[in-house]
Amino acid sequence: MEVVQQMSPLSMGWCINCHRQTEVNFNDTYYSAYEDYHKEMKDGDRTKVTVEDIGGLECQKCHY
Amino acid sequence: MKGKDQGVWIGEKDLTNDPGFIEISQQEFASMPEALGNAEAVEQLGGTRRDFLKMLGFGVGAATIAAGCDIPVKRAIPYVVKPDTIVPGVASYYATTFVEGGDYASVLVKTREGRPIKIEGNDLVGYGGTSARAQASVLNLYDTARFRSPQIGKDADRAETSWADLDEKAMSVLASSTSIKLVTSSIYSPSTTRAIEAFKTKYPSTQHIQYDSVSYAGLLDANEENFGMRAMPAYKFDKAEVVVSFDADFLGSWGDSTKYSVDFINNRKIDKVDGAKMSRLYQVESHMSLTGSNADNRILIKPSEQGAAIVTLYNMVTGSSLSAASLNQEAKTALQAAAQELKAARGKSIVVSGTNNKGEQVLVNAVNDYLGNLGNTVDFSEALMTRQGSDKEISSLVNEMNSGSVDTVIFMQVNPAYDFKSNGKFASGLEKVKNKLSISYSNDETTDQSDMVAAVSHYLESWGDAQPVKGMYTLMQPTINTIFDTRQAGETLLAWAGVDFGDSYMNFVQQGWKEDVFELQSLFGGFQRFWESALHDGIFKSGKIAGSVSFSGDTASAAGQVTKTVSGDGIELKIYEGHLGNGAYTNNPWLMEMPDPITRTVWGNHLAIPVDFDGVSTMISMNDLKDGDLVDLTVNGETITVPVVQQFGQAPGTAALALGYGREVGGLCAKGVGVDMNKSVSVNKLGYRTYSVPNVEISAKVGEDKEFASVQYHHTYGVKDTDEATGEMINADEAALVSFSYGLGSQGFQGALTDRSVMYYSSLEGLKDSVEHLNDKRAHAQHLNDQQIYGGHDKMYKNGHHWGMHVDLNSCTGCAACTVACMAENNVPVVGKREVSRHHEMTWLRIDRYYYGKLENPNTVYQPMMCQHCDNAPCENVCPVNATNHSSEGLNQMTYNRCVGTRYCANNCPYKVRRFNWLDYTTADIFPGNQPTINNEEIPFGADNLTRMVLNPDVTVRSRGVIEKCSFCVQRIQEGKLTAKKEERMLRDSDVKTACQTACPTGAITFGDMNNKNGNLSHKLENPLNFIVLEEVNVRSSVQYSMRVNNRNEKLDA
Repeated sequence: MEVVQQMSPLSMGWCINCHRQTEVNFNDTYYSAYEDYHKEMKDGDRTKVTVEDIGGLECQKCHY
Repeated sequence: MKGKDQGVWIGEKDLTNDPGFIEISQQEFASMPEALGNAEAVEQLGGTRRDFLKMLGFGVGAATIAAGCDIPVKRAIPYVVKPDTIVPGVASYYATTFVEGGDYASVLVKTREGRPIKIEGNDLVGYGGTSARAQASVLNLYDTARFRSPQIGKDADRAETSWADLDEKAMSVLASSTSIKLVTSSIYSPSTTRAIEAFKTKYPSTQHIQYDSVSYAGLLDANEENFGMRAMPAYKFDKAEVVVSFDADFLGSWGDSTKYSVDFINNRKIDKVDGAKMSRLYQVESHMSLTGSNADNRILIKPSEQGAAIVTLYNMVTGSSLSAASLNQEAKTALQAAAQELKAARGKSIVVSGTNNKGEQVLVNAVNDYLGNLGNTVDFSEALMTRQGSDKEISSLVNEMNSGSVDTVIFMQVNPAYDFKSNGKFASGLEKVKNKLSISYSNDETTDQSDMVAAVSHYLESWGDAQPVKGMYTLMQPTINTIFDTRQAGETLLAWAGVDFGDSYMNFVQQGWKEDVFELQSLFGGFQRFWESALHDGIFKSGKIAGSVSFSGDTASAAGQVTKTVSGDGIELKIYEGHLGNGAYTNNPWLMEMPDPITRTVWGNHLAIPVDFDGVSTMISMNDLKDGDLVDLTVNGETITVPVVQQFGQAPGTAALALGYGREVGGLCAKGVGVDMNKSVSVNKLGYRTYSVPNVEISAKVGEDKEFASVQYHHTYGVKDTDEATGEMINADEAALVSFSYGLGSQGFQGALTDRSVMYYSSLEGLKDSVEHLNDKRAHAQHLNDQQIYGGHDKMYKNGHHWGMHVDLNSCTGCAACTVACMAENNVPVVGKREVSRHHEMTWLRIDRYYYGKLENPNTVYQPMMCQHCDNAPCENVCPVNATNHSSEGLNQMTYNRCVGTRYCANNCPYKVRRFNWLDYTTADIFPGNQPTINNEEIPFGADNLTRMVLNPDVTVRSRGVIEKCSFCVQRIQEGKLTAKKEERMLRDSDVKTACQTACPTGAITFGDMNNKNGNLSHKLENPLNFIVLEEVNVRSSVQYSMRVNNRNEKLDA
């Protein structure tokens, strides 16, 4: 018989934490709207763009 | 007439600085009993606090889950094999047609998990957007008052039955009848017409009578006589430079009002100063209709002067001298000017009338003919087929019923016991009819009298078609399986006619298209492909009909038939159709709660009385009545008590009252709300319904409507008063600010900016000066704003998206489709009359109505006001729990779960757009112990599974104690961004369209990304007429408005 286990806490903190670390697929043409970040990447001031950087931690991105 | 130019005002209380009004506007939230949490008081409030719950009946005992409406609550069945078209979480859109009597709209229906939740316009028809009625129609599908199965019997004997049983009984009754009358509204559906033909073939004694809820018979008969076509022409308002309308509310509820709005506004958009042009509308009427409020000049006449006015214009334009009854001098002068302009714009003008007097319509046709408008702006090649009713036929039916010669009557989706009372003759006649059958949706005054009821499906559950405009065919397809045991009207007729159409009514519709419509096109060789394409589009245009029409009519005899002016001082009452129609929409709480655009009242009809100017500085109303006073209105000997509202621009000596209210049988939302004016609609000697009554009596105040609610006086800002201490003008809603004194005496209110920039307007001629003035004021405000201490976040907003909106005040007609769309999209609760009277209305988007110009005959402007998503929001820094903050994309975010209900943010908002859930309007509170049991109802409103089907699953349902406000449809923003990301392309402005934007037919609202230089929004932001409301307060709003421009003929005001 299969037993189902909960592998991740599935709490808000768990979601937020991953968004702080996960990089966004910045090569997607959609992200060309983020001109400042592209410039910073080019100049070497920034190595990655995480979900947090594009506003992923804002309340209404999830709670609407 | 001489009058003061008063600037801008919202109502009589505003103009006269009414102290009571000032006091109220000083407190954002009107007083309310501290009964919450006090069980005894809750008990006492029970009946009244939840008044609307009872009124709506969306949860009164009977709302148990019926068979067929099974939404498993405890069982979740996963899709083992996923159905092709349904992806949970992704909406499917179906093209269909909204048809309700003579109202039609081509719509796209958004369905989620197999149920429709939102109506959008289908822009393949030539324009997007819908009317408020179409937006509200989705809620009607989930009406708990609808019939769930066929019924047999009357009153206490009425019981549910099966279709087999009903059909058997009905067919035996029909077979033995010698005279069958089938009464319907205007039928413009080819399939329904064929079904009726099939029925007539089986029962040759059938007579099919069509009549409209609000009569167009005068116009139709005149067109038949003059042009050989019993239809309305297409009025091309976009090609007309001058429009003269005699009481035709073509932007509101007359004819194909959505299309007329689109076309009319297309000719009035201003986006540059040099070379700006727009049309001119003269509205000749007695009461302030929606069209009148958008008109450049209103010519005030009494309702009985309509005939004289039309004859006078006819004489002035054509140079004839038909005899006309007396007409007031100002109207004559004004009509002279109108006539001059009409003659200068031959072929590019329209004269239109909403009168039901055939003689007057003949003369209007003659004027259009003389001006060369036929075939240009008044075009029968695209005739409107949605009104075909005949007053004569329904009147003879009433006479025949009274004579006892009618055996059987079938009422198909009409309610003549309500809207064709015919001075009581309909009711007396109906009693003499042996067999009464009804094909209807829910119980109403007529169906209540019927012996058999064939329950009808909603249009969202039906197959069908329509030809609303000659040469344009639209299809209707079901968006959900029939929820209950109902059938389409056509199906019932075919069943009774013994016609077999296979397993679905679709076959019958398809057959008609195969025979008649397929041959009208040449793009598709095979029928199946054509059918699928038409079904996908929802619309098929076969092209205009060929040939032209010419006028032939006897104007002299027409002039003899026009309304005769009633002399004397008696008050004349105008009975008009407002946004609620005449009975079909009364059980729709969204439409009941939508404030009337002009009076801004809700949940009832209010008698509009004139407000007179004493020549110096005071406005005096008839009998000294104030808004909300109750009066006794005596019409033809019958007295009713109605609440009153003061109406600027109401012709002196007249009053007006809307149709559609005062239902006696209907859902609980409709019953007893307002007063029924159909009793006062009489049929004149020539057989036409007449919508005005002379010599009515209006008493002095007999009481007060304790729950009177005009939302124009709620959430005010910019109301002025004189500060007693300093004698200076202050803003009354800032009186809470600390008064500044150095001990030398009060220095007045600190920081009170009295010159509020709420609304700018201009005339067309003075546009250049007005724009300069606007630029000066904006520069001044911006200079002040630049002195701010804190740097802004502009750098952050330039990265990525920065959401903004543009509202074109010149395009907004005030139809309020956007407010209903917002309620539908965002699960905004309906609160009912009592709560609205306590300033607790929940609509996120309101349309403020301001009057400006001359006091006795003002112009009006509508300003949709929603959360401005201020980049420097005063609401964000005062929340003690940080429930509202600003996103990096410029949105002011409201986090419902953090909110504890301090309401400091709502207090701080300068636009007063935040709404607080004072009570648990949606029963989102999941603990049953927290819900008091009202009237032994187990399931309160909003908790019954049928009504909940209309909720948008993408939007939280808010509970008691949280603030809510416009979110710029953030659910649509997220969806649009996701679509762009998945398709690996830049976000376009067309990816994200807010609900208000898609509902607006005239394109007044544009939403988009301010950082997208190629988008729709950026183009609108370049308009020189743009301004920000309350810019001087430095809240950095993201919504820009563009100035209202009117083309008023100022010479008439001299």
